[in-house]
Amino acid sequence: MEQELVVIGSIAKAHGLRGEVQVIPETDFPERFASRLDVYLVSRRGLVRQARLMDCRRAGERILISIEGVDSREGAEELAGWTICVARENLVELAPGQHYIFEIIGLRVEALDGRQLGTIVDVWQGPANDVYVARGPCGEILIPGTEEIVREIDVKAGVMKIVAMPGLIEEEGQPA
Amino acid sequence: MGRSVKKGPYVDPKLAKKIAALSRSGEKRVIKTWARRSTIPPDFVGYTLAVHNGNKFIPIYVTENMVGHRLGEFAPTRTFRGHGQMRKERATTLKK
Repeated sequence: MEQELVVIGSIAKAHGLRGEVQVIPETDFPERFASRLDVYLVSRRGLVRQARLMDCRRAGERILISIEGVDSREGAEELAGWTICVARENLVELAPGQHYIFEIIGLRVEALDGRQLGTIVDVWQGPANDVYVARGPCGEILIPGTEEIVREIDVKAGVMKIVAMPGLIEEEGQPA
Repeated sequence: MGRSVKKGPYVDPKLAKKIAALSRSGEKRVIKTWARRSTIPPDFVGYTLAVHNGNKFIPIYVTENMVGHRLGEFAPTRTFRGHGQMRKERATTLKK
């Protein structure tokens, strides 16, 4: 059975002479790199290789890690551009009310009155609030990720229930 | 150089008027605006404004800690969406 993989970082380049690599974290939980972790390394061509992270330390925005079996600069240089993934079942458990973005994408958007408004195609993480982009019969709708508008997210049922507040949907927008 | 204290903050008058009308009626709606330069006064807290970013209207829910900032700060005009199509360990939370 093929593993469902989720990216937690990407290898930028080799660091030093002992096989360490610089990793750009692509996770909201960069502290997960601190522990000994079994991961999958995926190349740009899609080659998958199992590996274990040995030593991890922060270096500003990036993380320096050493990988079991890689102890030379040449070995580390070969890994530049690869992504570090974990199996879906090994993801960090989220607090209630939090959802992974990949779980949100594809949800059906439904107004509280039962109207079908479309499907979530993207999530933008903005400075004020997240914005869920839905496309459907009403065109593109930008839904603010606030409790006032989004009333329910049911990942298992594949539905997001929202309050279709006037001005949110293009057809109902007031003149500027 | 900041704006003179004597002048006070600039708040878009048309937008302030619309918020005042909503506040009087108690109605809730999303207000579209191009007034990115408008400072956020305390009266705007609790309303959702769709701020134009040059392309789209980005819906923004105004909270207390946004007071004193400009609306444009919360509707980025350039957005890097990242490389690759693989699933990432990024989470989203609803704002209260």
